[in-house]
Parts: sequence; structure tokens; C-alpha cells
Amino acid sequence: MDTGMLSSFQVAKAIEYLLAVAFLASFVPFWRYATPRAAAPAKAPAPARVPVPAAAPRREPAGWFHVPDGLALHPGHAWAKAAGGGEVLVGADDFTRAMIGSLSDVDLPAPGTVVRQGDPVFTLRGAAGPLPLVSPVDGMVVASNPAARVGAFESDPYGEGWLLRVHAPRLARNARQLLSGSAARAFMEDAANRLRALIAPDLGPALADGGVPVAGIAGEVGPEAWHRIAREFFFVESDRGGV
Amino acid sequence: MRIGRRFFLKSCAALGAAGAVKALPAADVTPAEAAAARDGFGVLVDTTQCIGCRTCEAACAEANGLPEPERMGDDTVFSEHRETSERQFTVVNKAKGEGEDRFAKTQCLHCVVPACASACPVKALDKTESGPVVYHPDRCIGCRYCMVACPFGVPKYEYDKTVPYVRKCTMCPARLAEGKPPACVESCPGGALLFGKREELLAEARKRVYAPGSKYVPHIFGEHEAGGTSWMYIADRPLCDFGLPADVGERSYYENTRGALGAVPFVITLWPPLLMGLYAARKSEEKDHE
Amino acid sequence: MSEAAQVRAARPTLVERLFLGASAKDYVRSLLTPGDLAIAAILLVGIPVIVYRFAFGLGAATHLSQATPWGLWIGFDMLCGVALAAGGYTLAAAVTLFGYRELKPVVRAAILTGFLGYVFAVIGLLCDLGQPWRIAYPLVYSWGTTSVMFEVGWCVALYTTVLAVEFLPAFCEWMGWAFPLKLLHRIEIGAIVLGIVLSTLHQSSLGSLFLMAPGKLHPLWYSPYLPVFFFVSSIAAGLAMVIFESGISHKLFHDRCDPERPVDLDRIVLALARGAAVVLFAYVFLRLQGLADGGSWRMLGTGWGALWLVEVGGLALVPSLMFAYASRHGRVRVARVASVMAVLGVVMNRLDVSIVAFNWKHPFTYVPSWMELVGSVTIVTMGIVTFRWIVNRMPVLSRRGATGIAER
Repeated sequence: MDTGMLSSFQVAKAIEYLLAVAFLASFVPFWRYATPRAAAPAKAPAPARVPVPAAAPRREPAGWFHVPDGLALHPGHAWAKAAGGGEVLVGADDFTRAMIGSLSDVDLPAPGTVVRQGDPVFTLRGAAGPLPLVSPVDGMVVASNPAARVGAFESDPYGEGWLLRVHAPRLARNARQLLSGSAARAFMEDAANRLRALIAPDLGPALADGGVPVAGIAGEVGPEAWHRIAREFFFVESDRGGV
Repeated sequence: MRIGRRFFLKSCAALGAAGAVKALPAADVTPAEAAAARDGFGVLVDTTQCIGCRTCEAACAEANGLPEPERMGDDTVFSEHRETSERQFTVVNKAKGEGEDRFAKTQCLHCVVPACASACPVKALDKTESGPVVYHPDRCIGCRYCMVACPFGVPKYEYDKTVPYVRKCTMCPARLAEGKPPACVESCPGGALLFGKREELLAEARKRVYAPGSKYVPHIFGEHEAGGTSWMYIADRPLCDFGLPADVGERSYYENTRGALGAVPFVITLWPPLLMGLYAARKSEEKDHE
Repeated sequence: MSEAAQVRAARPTLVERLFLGASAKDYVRSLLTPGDLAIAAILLVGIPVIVYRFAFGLGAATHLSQATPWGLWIGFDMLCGVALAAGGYTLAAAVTLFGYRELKPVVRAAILTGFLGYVFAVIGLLCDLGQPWRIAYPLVYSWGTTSVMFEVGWCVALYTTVLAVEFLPAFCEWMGWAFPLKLLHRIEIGAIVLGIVLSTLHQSSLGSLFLMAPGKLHPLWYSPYLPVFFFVSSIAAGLAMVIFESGISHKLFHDRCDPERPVDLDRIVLALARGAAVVLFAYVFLRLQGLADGGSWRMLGTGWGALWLVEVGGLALVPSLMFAYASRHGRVRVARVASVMAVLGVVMNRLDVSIVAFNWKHPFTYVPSWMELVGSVTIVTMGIVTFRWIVNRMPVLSRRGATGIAER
């Protein structure tokens, strides 16, 4: 029947239009729901950069920070040194020491914990707040250093101040991510330059004559800058939520 | 990278030209299809005259170099419905239903606008001006899209061979070129198969079917089915009893894809300026923020 | 250890590049992990199966029949392979044209996934074609211009080339060839736009293939808008695959990634999740429109309807909501689960259209043979192995080459 066919066609069209309207009506609320409320801090404008004299010849080996030979440095500022028997000693570098200043506590994983290169493994606590560090190697924690809590880290971060002993079966592979020798020193210099550019607005007067900053830089900078330092230098998230 | 206006316009022109080239054949049927629709040959199958002797099956096998059909002269072969295969281009089936025995020959229907030829990416299946849908084995890549497309399930594939081809009735184009009818038509003793121009066959079919007091069901299968076929059927009982599909529709199957194919040049022309415009707008926005 | 960590003054040789800086013996030894042994087992069975198919024909190796000419190798390897490789054009568009710079770290991996996805889809096609040595015929020998398949062939061939060109910078960086990089950078935008055009065309055309079969494809799936459905779902599949692949890559290849990735990757995943949520939301409404247009509401009550509801409700609408939730609350793991569901939904859709709901009046006449299953698994495995080989050597997940030093 003609009229029957026509009305079923009309019904189909009506449903289609209703669906379209329903979609448009629900689309905007859906989009609003899916977008997170708190805007990501990454949208903050770039801080004013302090011009660094590029051509100035550097006398000191690594600027502010010292890195010895014989160990491998991870770009997250942890280091690893072969200790025989497939194990390595793991610790945090001079840069980290300068950040933290005096160590109030350190959270180390228990023996038996599986660690992975690039994942947070221990947390250092200083006057400035907690700072997690990422592991330089894959493996399993064999032992932690009791002396680290009682000043060994501040006085000798590369020797007595080691933090973990890790059994590292994939060392050769992990080593591809690690730096040593002149590459490590170049990396530390670069880190120093970037840090200077980053914190200059906070510490302007102290650095005007190129002076070396006091230990505990973390405590001297604002929370925004600390958050950025944690992200860009240590590859971790750290808000200054108190000790 | 700077997008100069010249590069932009040149790319649009190039893509638009490419799109236009692709667009042309999709706009209408091919010239061969148009010619065949006017004066192509066809066959009218009058099922009331078919006695089920299967001589056509044997003639087809001989003409195409195929193995002899099995169980010739044995009527138990009609107890089940048979399909054509890669080794048998035509089969005769008995119709379902009450009353006298009726038989019908099945084979490729040589559609006016064939789905298989439209679907073939290398034109291995091709509608010729004289009517048959022929197969060019030198072109076939074995994608089997023709088998997906054909609403009658006609093309069959030689799955068992290591160099397989598509096999189906080709309406004996070599014989047609010599002015002879297809082998099956010539061999039919009962006069069930009428060979001639499709237009003339339609006229004859209408005369038989719509004559006053005629015994035929008032429908000529193939007049409009799938846009029209060259092999048409008339019968004195419902045509679906013979296994002919009732749900094929009256549009050629090519029509189903014409819209999609026609959109191609539009996408090729529209997308680049839209996307480039987005890119340029974003670039200038970034410049403003610096 | 000190040897491997030393700064190399000279550029690594090709052998060093191939063996990741290790000696041949050490390299082979490094391959004896359980995962590698599983892969070897799969290839040990699969490659002979594929050889058998070419030696003895499709009839011997598959359950294809005259009524079901297309099976697993078309339905899964070709259709799903192409749909899931859509991350290449989606991400290239998002980063370069729409300006989502934060997605940049995953673009190269997405392009590689796309490129390998297409290459191995074509390999699946080669296994399925009756005369695979003639695969180039639609390009060079005989043009069937009325055919959707013709358009698919051309677009896939051109697009695979575009993807190869888009991946070329990573390869050049690995080989240390600076000269082509400048040239490639200049045509980058053109390649990306061309890639989007070609992708639109062939993703939709794979759906258009089935427009030819209105009688054979179940009404709940058949629609004149099949090309639109395939195109939109390919975008969702691409985004979901990038989320999925990045998670796996981070876990398996974390020693190849740049160290800053753990922090950035989460933000990237959530941004992709946001996009996937919206696309899937629109896709669900489009499928509903398809139902309205076809007037097939009543069929939802049948067994086919249940299948449709699982595919569109369970594996498209639910992941869409999950992605939105994950994006809003920063729950990366929810996004990862949703990505697996979304990928499964697109795979299910392609399989439904090409195999399950195709020839629905004669259901279950086609069940893949064990050789077809093994063949598909083998092809996917070969794709994964190639992906791993490339990622372990070339700067895809990081800016560094395999020898440990930044080569840019």
C-alpha cells in the first residue's frame, strides 16, 4: 500500500533526524566530561632565559658538578658501578646531592625488589621535600646501604655513599642508556647550564658573579621550578607536599 | 616547511586531474554494456518445453572441453538440487512443487550490467557488445571479488589447482562470432532454448506470457532482475521453484557502488585544501603566539 | 660494561648496527629468551604451512568454497591489518596538521606500525590471491576502473609507498645518511596530506567492497554508508592501536626508549584516549543511523542482533565511555584496557562484515581451517618480529641509535 510505505519511510527519516539531534545534544557534554578539569601545568609559559655566554672557555672539568671515571651515569642522575659477580652498586650523583642538601631520610627498596631501568626506585628526602630517582639498571635489589642515611651520601656520593647493590643480568643492554667518561662530563655540564638557566630568576643575586650555589638548591627555589626540575632532570613527578 | 601558494595550487590541480581520470568510467555504464543492452544476444528459456534430457549439459561439456556430466540418462540425478561448478558450466534441475515435472537449465545469466564485470579490478570479466560476459584468463589475479559480487553465485573457482582460474558459462562467443548459437541452444531437442537478440526475445516472451488464457506465470525472470539479464526465464509455476532467487532486486549491482566510486574525485579534490587550510591556520596562530 | 658504555669516536659500522654492537655469537645468545623461542616455534610451524599453501593451492590449505570465496586471510589479515594500521595517518594528521605537538614522541612508532601493518596485510593478500604473482596487474596490466577493488589496490599501493617515505628519515638517521633527510623534510607535509587522502579513500573503500553484496550481508551490517563506517572506525582503531602499542613497547623495549618517556607517555595516552572517546562516540551514533536508514531495528532481537549489540554496544560504546572516564580522571590503565576493547571491536566488525554476517542465510558454512589460522598467526608474528628488529636498531622509540649514543 502506498500510504503504508510512505509513512514507514517518514518514520525512518524521523528516527534518523532524532538520532542526529540526540547526538549533537550529547556531544558537547560528552566532550566536556572527557576533558580533564585541571589543566596540565605543561602549558605554563617558558621562563625568561638568562643569556649564558656561549664562548666562555670552561676551566673546571664539569662546571658545578663532579663526576669521576669508572662508573656509568644514567641521565636521571643515578649512577651504576660494576661490583663483580654480575652485581652493581647504584647511587645518586653529585648533582642530586647539590639538589637535596642535607639528607633527612632515604626510602630504599627492600632486598628482593625487582627494579627496571627508567622506573623510580628510591626516594631521597631533604629539607626541600621528597625526590624520587629512577634506576639506572634492570635487576633485583640484593642489599641497601645502611650508611647512606647517616651522612655517607653527603660526604661521598660516589663511594661510601652508594645506595643499593643490585644484581643486574641485563647490564650490557642497560649500558646503552648510560654515559661515562667524557660523555658523562659533557652531560653534567649541559645539566649545569640548563639548571642555571632555569633557576636564575630565583637565585639571581647569588649567581651574578658565577658563584657556586650552596647545597640544597631545592630548598631555595619556588615550587613551580622544583616541579620542573624534578620532571626535566630526574624524570619524576614531585610536588613539594611537605617532608 | 613553507607552503607556497603555487605548490598548493599545483598539487590541487594534479590531484584533481588524477581524480577526474578516475571519475570518468564511474559516471555511467561502459560503452559495451550500452551497446549490448540495445542489440546484444540472449537466450529465452521456456521451462514448459524442457524435458530434462540434459543434452545441453553434454553439449556444453564438449564445446568447452570439460569432463562429461555424470549420471547421464539417470533421472535420480534430479533428486537433489545441483549447482554449477568449475568443471560444469550448466546443470539442469527439477523444479520443486506439485504437478507435472518441470525442469530448468541454470548457468551464467549474462547480466546487462554485470556485477562481476563491474567488480573485477582487472577487467578479466567483461561484458561484450554482442551480449556474453566473457572471461580473460590472462588478466585474472584470483581475487574472487566477482564471486562475492554475483548475486546468482555463478562464478566458480578452481581451488584445487595451483594455477587456478574462474570458470563459468561464456555463452560460446567463438560460435556467436561465426553466426552460430551457443552449443546448448543448438543441441536442445525440445525447443526450450530460444536464441536471438534480447529485445526480440523479450517481445516473444511477452507474447507468450501475457497472451490471453496463457498458462504462464505473469513474470519474465531476467527482464528487470539485477538490472536485466540476457538469459531470461518463463514458466507456468513460480520461478523461485526453479531455484531462481527472488530477492535480487531490479537495480544493477553496479549501482550499489557507483556512489562510493563517485565520491573518490571529490575526496581527492576537497581534502588537500581543507587540510592545508587547517595547517596554515594553525601555523599562523602559532606565529601570533610567539 | 665499560666497553659498551664508552663514547665511540668513530661511527658504528653496518655490522655493528645489525648486531646491536655485540659480536655475532653474543647476539645469537641474546636471542635465546622464552619469548624468542615461542616465536621460533610459531615460525617453525607457520612457514611450512605457508609454503604448503603455495605448493598445493588454496583448496588444499583453506576451507574456502564456492559459496564463501573470502575467508580469514581477507577478513583478518587484510581488512583488520589495514584498519589497525591506521595509526600512521591519524597521528601524522594529529601532530602535523592539528598541532598536537605533545603526541610527537609516538608518531614514529605509529608510522612504523602503519607501514608494517600494510606490508603484512599485503603479504596476507598474497597468500589469499589465486595467482599472487599477478598482484601488480591492477596497477600495470589491465585497469578495471569500475571496480572498488581497483581503487583499493591503487590506494594501498600508493599509501604503502607514502608510509615508506614517512619512515625513511628514521632509516636514514640509522644509516647515518644526512643528505636525503633535507629533501624528505621538505616533502613531509605533502606526504602527510597525501597519506590522509589515500587513507580516507582506501579505508572507506574496503567497506565499499561489500556494497556489492546487499543480499549476502546481514541487514544489520549492510548499509549504503558502509564506507563511512569503515573510515570512522579506522580512526578509532588507529588511536587505540597507538595506545596499545605504546604500552607494550614501553614494557618490552624500555631500554630503547628515551628516559623521559615514563612521564610523557601517560599524558600522550590520555590525549589519545580523549580523541578515541569522541570518535567512538560518533561511530556508535553512525551505526545507529545505519539501522534507522535500513529500518532493521526489529532484527536486534535476534541472535544476529545480540552479536551486533556486543560489537557496537560492548566494544564501541563501552570503550568510548571508558576512554572518556580515563581522560577525565587521568587513569592510564583504564585507557589501556579500553584500547584493547576498541581494537577487538574493530576486528570483530571487520570479521562480521566479511565472514560471520556475510552469507548469513547459510551461517557457519565457513570455518577457517587450521592452516588458515596458523597462517594468520604466522603473518602477525612476522610483523611483530620485524617491528622489534627495527625498533631495536633504528631511532623509532628514542632519538638514539642502537649503539647508545644520540646520533642527531
